[in-house]
Amino acid sequence: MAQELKVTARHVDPVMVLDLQGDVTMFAEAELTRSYHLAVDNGARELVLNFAGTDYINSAGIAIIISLLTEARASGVSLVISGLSSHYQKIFRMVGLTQYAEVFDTVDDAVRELKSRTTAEPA
Amino acid sequence: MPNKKRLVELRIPSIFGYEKVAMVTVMAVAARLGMSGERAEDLRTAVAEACINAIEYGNREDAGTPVTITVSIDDHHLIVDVRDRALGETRPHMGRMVDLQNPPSGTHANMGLFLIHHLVDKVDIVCRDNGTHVHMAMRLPEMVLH
Repeated sequence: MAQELKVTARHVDPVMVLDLQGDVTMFAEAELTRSYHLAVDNGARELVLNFAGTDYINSAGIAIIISLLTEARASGVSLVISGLSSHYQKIFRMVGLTQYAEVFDTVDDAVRELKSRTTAEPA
Repeated sequence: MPNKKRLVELRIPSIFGYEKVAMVTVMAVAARLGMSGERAEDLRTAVAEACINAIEYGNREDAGTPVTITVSIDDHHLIVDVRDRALGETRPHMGRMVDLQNPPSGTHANMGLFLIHHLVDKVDIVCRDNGTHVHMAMRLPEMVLH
């Protein structure tokens, strides 16, 4: 019934993109946290959570995302969001999630912004 | 009292994921009544959250105990009622648990209620010993009303 979440990681130097495919619900917790930690453990410091492949996010899924964003902030990782439909962009604003993370319309926009920050940082 | 007409009644098992059956049904009825785009999406999300609460807290995930979803119209609204059987705790103050000005930072149940209150035009939540009833109404587009 539920569409199981699959997360695919791809490297768009120096940014790591996590492409989400499926439902973001309570069942997504293990896959999401595993994928995030794997990326960070492999040295990623700029990450994009790309929701372009999902059309169902519920409150339990939002709670998981908030938890990841809180962890990222505490450990100095830049974690941003892309690919949300206009409906879910509104939901994320409504629950205050945009206070924790920047939201971009497309993954290309998110990658471009993160890349510009890393090149702007002093060596 | 406006004329209320029941269109669809649906029973889903108290298993996470089955809320999607209710979501698809409500979207189909909304489209048929000319409600589209963001308004229909808002109702879809509110129905999902009401069903999740019913499955988790109302029916304690007892698969054999159904959540009942009724879709109706009156003179001005598309109405969705979600009912559980109160196998879990009764929540007499559930309708007042939500701080509408501040998103919840705790459990996702409160976040679901917060979303329901913000996404639909009218919400009533009635908790009794025999179950919780979430009543949600969205005003129909003008073209349907005339």
